[in-house]
Amino acid sequence: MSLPKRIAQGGRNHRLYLLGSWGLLALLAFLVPFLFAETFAPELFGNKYTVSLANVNKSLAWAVAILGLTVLTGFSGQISLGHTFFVGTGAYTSAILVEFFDWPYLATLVVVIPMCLVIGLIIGIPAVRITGLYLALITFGLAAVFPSIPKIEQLADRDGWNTGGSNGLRVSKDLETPSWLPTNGIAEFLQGIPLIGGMFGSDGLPRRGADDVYVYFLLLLVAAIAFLLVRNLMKSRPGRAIIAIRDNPTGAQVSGINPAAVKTIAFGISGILGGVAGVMFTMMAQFVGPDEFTTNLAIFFVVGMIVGGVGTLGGSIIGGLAIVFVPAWAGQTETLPIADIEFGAEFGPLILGVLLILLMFAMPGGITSGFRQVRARLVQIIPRAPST
Amino acid sequence: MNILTAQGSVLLDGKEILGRKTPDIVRAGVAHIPQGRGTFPELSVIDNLEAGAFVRRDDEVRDDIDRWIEVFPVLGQRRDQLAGQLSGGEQQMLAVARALMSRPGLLLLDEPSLGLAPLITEQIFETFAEINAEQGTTMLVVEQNASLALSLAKTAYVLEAGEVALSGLADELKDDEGVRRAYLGY
Amino acid sequence: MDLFLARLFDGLGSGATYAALAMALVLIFKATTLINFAQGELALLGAYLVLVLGVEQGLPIVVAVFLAMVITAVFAAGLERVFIRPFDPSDHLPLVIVTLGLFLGINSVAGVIWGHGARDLPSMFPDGNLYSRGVANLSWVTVGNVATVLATAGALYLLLNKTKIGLAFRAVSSNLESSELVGINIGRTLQFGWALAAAVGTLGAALAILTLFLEPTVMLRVLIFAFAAAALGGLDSLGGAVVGGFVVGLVRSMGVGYLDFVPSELGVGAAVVVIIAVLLIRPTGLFGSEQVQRV
Repeated sequence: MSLPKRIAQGGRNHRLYLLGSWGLLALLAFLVPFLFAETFAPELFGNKYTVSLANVNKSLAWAVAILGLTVLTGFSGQISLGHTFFVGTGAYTSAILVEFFDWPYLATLVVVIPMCLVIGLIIGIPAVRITGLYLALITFGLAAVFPSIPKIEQLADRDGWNTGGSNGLRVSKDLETPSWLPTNGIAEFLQGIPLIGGMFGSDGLPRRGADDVYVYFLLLLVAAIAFLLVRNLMKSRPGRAIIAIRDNPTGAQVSGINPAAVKTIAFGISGILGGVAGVMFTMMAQFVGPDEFTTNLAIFFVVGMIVGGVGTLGGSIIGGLAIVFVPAWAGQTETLPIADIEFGAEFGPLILGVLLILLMFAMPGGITSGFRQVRARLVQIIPRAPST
Repeated sequence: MNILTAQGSVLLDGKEILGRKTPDIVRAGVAHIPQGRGTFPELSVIDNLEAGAFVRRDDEVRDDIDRWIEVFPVLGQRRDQLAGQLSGGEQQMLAVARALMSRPGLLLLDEPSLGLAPLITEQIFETFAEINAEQGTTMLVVEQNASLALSLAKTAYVLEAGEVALSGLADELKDDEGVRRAYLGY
Repeated sequence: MDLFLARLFDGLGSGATYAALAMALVLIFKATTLINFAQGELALLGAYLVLVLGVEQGLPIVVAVFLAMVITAVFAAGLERVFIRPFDPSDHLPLVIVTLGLFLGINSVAGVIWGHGARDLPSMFPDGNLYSRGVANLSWVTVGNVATVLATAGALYLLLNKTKIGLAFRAVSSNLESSELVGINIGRTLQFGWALAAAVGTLGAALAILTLFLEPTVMLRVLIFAFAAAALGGLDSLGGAVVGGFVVGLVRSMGVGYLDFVPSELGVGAAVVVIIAVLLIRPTGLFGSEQVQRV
C-alpha cells in the first residue's frame, strides 16, 4: 500500500474513516477514567510519572478555558492574558452557591453563564479601542488583580456567605455517583477481560476513585457540549464575522460587519467559556482559593493554547492536558540519562521551559499542526468536486 | 527577505551573487527600491537618507544628502517630518534618494509609477534619466507603463508569462508592430 | 502634608525602578514588537551577579553593578542568537512561548544556584536622608534611583539618536525589509537590542533590590508594574516608559494611601484602572506612535 492513502471526501471510505477515528476517540474517552481510577505511574528513565484521574478532570476544565481563549485569540485575534479572571469568578460563584445556598453544582451554571457573559462584554468594550499587546497587558493586570478580590475584608469576613479569604473555601457537598450509573460494574467487566484486564486494576473501583469517575463523565459531557456549540458557532454567520475581523479588520468593516459589536461578543463568549471552566474546576477540586487563580495560570492558558495549536478546537484539549501534566511530570523528574545530576522538584520549571522551547523548534504551529503534517503523510482527503 | 529557491545564476560585474545575503549584495553596489516604496515610516526624512548610507564608511554622507535634497527640493522642506507622513509621490522620491545614498552601481526599481499621479510619475522618470546621464548609474526598471518606460530606456525586455518574449533597443521596440498593439494601445 | 510628601517620595522611589524595567521592555518591543517575558528574569540574574561580585567577591558595588550589566548583556546576546534568531521574526506566538520558556528556565536555575532565601544587597548610594519632614523622608536611595533612571534614559536617547548602531536599531524597528535593503544586518542589530535591554534591566533590578529583598520571585512582583508602566507610556516610547514608571509608582502609593474604600489588596487594581482609563483615550499609550490604517 502506498502512502499517503487517498480518500475521496463524502465517499464510503471517507465515512468509514470518520466513523473509525471518531469512534476510537470516543472509546478512548470512555476508557480513560477506568484506566486511571487508581493512580497510574509509568516509569521512564527511573522516574515515576503519575497520572491521576483528578488531574485528567482538571485538564478537562482547563481545556474549556483554553477553548475560550481560542475563540478570542484564535478566531477573533484579540489576546487575553487574564482568563483566570473569568475562571476564578465562575469557580468562586459556583463554590459559594453550592456551599452556602445548597445549589446543585451544575445548576450554578445558570448564574455563572450570564455573569461571565456580562463581565466579558464589559471587558470587551474597551477592547474595541485597545488592541494587541496593550490589550494583553491590561488583561494581565486583571489576572494580577483577581487573587486579591477574595481577600477583600468585606467579602472574606462577612456573615452568611463569604469567600474564605486567603485560606480559600472548601465545598463540603460531594458529587456522589448516582445509583443508575453502573461505573463499578463497568470497571469489573473491564477488569475481567483476559490479557488486558490488568490495566484496569482489580476489585472494582477504589472507593475514592469511584466518584472521580462520575465527575469525569459529568465534566466530559459539559466539555463536549461546549466544544460542539463553539464548533457550530464558528461555522455560522456570526462565527464567520468573528474570523473575518481577525483576518482583515478593515475588509470586514467595509463588508458591513460591525467590528466593535463582533469583538465585544467574542469577549462575551470567551468569558462564558472561562466561567464554565471555573464551575468545572469547583466540581473536580471542591475547593477554591486565591492561589488557584494566579497570573501563572493565566499565562499557562496562553501556553496551552499555543502548544495545542492556535485556532484549532482540538488543540484546546491537548493544551489542557499539557498544562496540567507537563509541569507535574517535570517536577517529578529526578534523574535524566543526559547528565549525572540529581534533579529535584525545583528543576521542574527548567525542564518545562526547555520542553516549551524544544516544542517550538520542532512544531512552531503547535501540536495540532504537527499532528496534521504526520496525518497528511498517511491519509489524504480528496475534496469532492463541486457539482455543476 | 525570505529567498525562494532559485536556479541558474545572477552575475554582478561577472561575480555570482545568487544566494548571497541581502546586506552583502547592497555592499557590492546594488540598490533596490521595492514596489510599495521601501522607506522607514517612523524615521524622519533625514534619518531615512542617513540610513540609506549605512554601508558607506566615507565622510561625504552629508554632502550627498545636500545633493539629493537639491534634486528633490520637497525632501528639504520636509527634512524633519516622519517618512510615513509624506504623500505617495514624496515617498517615492525619498525611496529613490535613499537608494542613491548608498552610491550604487546598479539601481533596481520595481514599478516606480505604482499609485502615483501621472504628472508626478513623469517628473520622477525624468529625474531617473538625469541621474543616469550625470552619474552613469545603471538602472533596471520594471514598469507597466510601457510607453513611458520605452521613451526613456536604452534597452528593453518584454516579459510574457515569465519568459522574455522580445528584447532589443528601446527605440526599436517602440516601433515594433506587436509591442505597439499589445502594450501601447495604438 | 507630611503624609502626602511621604507618599510622593515613596511613589517616586518605586516608580524609578518600574521605569528602568519598562525601558528594558520598550527596547525589546521597539526592536521586535514583542513583549519579552524573560526580561525580569534576566534582570534577576543580573541582581544575583551583583550579589556574587559585590558581596562574595568584595568588589566595590558600583563596579559590581557595571560588570553584572556587561555579563547579562553578553548572556542576552547569546540567548538571542541561540533561541530567538532561528524563528521567523514576524510570527509572534512561537517567540512569546520561547521567552516564556526562558522565563521558567532562568528563574528555576537562579533558585537552584542561589536558593530561595531572601538576600540583601549593599547600597550604591549613601545611607540617610537628603530631606526629612515629620514622617516624610527623602532618602538618598530614592534620589539615587531617580537620578540613575533619568541618566540612563538620557544615555539611551543619545545612543539611539546620535550613533550609527542607534540609527540601525531605529531603522530595524521601523521596517525590516527596508533595513535589509540598505545593508543593515538585522540579526546583529536585534542582538544589540537584547544586550542593551538586558543591561538596562540589570540596572533596574539593582535599583529595585535597594528597597526589596533579593529572592527568585522578586522580579515577578515588580514586572507587573513595569508592564503597566510600559503600556501607559506607549510600548515604543522610551520617554513614555520613564513617565509611565513614575505615574504607576505614584498611583500605587497615592491610590492605596488616600482612597480608603480601596482595600490595600487592590494596589494593582488601582494601577490597572488608571491604565485602562488612559488607554481608552489614547489607545497607544501617552507617547506611543499612532497606528495608521491603510486599506
